[in-house]
Amino acid sequence: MTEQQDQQQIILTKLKNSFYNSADFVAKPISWWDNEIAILCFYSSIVNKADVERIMYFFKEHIRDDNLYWGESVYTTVIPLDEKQLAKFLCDGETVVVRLKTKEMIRISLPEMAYRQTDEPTSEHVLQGSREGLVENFDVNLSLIRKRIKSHKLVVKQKSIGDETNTTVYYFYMADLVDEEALQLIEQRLDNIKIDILYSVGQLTDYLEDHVWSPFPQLLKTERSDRIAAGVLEGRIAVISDLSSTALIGPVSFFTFYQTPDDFNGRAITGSFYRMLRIFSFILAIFLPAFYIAVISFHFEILPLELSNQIKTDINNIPYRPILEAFILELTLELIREASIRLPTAVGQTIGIVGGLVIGDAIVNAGLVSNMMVIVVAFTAIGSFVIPSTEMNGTVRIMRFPFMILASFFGFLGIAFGAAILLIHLLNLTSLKRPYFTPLIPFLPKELYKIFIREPFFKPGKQVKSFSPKEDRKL
Amino acid sequence: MKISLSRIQFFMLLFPLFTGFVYISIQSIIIDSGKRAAWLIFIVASILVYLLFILYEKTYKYFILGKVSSVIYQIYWLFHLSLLVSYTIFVVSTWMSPNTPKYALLLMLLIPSLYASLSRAETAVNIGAIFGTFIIFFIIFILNAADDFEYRNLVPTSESGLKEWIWGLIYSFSAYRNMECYLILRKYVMKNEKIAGKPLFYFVFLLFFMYMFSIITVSLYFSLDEFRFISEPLLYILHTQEVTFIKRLDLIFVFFWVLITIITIINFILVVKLVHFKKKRKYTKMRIVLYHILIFIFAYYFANFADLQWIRVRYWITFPIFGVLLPIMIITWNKVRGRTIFDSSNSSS
Repeated sequence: MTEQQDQQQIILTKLKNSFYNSADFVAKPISWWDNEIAILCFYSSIVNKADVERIMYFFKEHIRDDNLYWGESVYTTVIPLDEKQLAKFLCDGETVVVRLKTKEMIRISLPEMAYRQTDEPTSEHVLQGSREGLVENFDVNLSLIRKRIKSHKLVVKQKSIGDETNTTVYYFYMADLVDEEALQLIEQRLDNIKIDILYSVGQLTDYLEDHVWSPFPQLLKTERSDRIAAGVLEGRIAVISDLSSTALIGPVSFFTFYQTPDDFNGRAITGSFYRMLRIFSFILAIFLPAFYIAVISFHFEILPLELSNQIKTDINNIPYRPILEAFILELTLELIREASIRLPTAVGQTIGIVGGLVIGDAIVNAGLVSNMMVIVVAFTAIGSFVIPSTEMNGTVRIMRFPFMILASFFGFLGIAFGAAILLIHLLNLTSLKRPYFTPLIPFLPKELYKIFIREPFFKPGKQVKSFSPKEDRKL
Repeated sequence: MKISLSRIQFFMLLFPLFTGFVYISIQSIIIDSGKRAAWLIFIVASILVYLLFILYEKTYKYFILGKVSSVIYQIYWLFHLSLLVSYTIFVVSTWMSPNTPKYALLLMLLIPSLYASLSRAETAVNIGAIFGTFIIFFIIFILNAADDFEYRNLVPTSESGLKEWIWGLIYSFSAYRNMECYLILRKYVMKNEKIAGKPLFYFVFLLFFMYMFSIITVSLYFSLDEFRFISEPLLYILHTQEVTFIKRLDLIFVFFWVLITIITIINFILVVKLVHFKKKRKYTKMRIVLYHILIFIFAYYFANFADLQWIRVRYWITFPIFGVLLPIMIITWNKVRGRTIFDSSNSSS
């Protein structure tokens, strides 16, 4: 054995040991130019082997021609040998050729990780507009965004998080529109994440949000590429990881969660109507059951006589207090909802029908709840499902329980107390240190109507900005 | 404690302070003392108050609270807030929750206030914005009674003599109590924001409009003799209104009014905090909690019909003393000495 072969054997053994002899780890000697032996290593499970093979062939051609930049191409680069970095590159799906003679590494970046095809996000359906949702692949995701924002001012930065998982997190923004303070905050918070394992977007949310214990989401989660592009063009920052098809957008206000791409793809007047309807649905979803409980427990006199008689007859046969009635129905509804999500789609729909019609009817016939309560809870459920954001939807569904309890103890006064606490809480909230309840509070009269009205596109004539714009400019 | 206010924030802070809890009760006493000319008397009183606002706008820089005046105002505000809270729970227990214990009602009002006071100052500064929604609802509800208005109730104004004019004016001024809050908050308005002139006029006019609207509508609805027996005429009007889906509008309005009162308390405590924490003090949060406990205790003992009626009739006195006399004395004293808030803030920093 020659000295070169000895050295090569030692390195091969060392490499295999340091990768714990994984089944998919490949490290083998190959003949390089001029009797030189190099070591080729890669993870066979995450590398496009055919393309790598083709690239290798071209390398040899170029090196033979004595080209100056023979190792540099779209997929490849040559850097000095670094054992620590070698592991990282291989884990990222790269193929590395180690040249023992020159102490160089040739990186061939042709990973082939599993991901699904772009599809319409199931949690954010729209009637009109783009159907392209994000997938669990950064390149595909970014291409969807770049397709919509063909500007060199769209900046993408990346950061590796998680000592064990080495998850790459990307954040992007428009260089000239971005809210600088929010950007600094995002960068600072990403830098401060010191964890071993990052596997979900939920973890990232907890690290990036201002108030983790608040029930209200402070970053918009979306899988829609058009929504991300719109957010970025309004000066916001989008954060995605290569593990999830969900992006986080911030800073946002409470009212951002009530807008959908349909508002902008449809007619202005229709968009405005549905926008108002959604805001109304928030009030309905939180307050309606509480209001009903308060009325039938404390303030019966508020109802007109005819309605009052009807309800009295209805609830006289119910053995439980209204709060218990409401809890029985609300919890049943939550159970049905949870079951229909967990089960396969076809079965899930059946559960919805069985739960809604059969169980609902049986509960009323058994005398556990009144017809009126079924109507109230059904309206509440519809009101909460109108909300376009699934996260805000969950928040609203949870928020109605404390209001129901307060209403059952103190009637309208309890609701007023709860509403005051809720209002103060919303005022205290910030999204990346920007006020959450804007433009209502702080009161921005010129922006206020945008909560309810979708302006025609020709009308604004100005660049839409989310927070603290540098300057408005004509489009 | 330092805050800076935009013009809108400044007026939104003041609006609940001026209209807040007095709004549902002030009409009876003004009309009962001013008789048929009450609405005319209120216009005159409002013009005089507007002149006072202009005077304060020109001289606010001389309004520096010293140690003694700070203590006087803080004692007054403690009393005022306790009265405000006790009156609110009195109204709530009369109209909405007769069986709820007094302490529970007090907690319902004071816990949100405590939460907001312990939060960042911006919360209290901005919370008044929600006020506008209620005003629209309220005006729509009240106008429901238009069919029952008796327009001859407003004339002849000559029936009111000197005595009616004097007492009518005195009680009309009471609607604008808390004038000192204007002086205290004014210095926190950003320097590039214009208050004098049109903005101030619009603000005072809005206050005037709100009160005038209520005085006119209740005058049109009730006969003069009825005001002796009705303490909250607006609620009575709403009580008589019935729309298709709701039989008792008054309950809905009391619901909104409770929210408005909570906002008023929060704003008032912000003013108290601005004065009390002008100098850095230890145990900030503890002091705020203690202040709420004191309000709870005082309000608990005030909150009965006899005491509230006794205080209410005599409460006009607070406007001339704390809203006019004391501020003018402080302003004059500092003007003579040549001290302004700008010198004062420079020396303190």
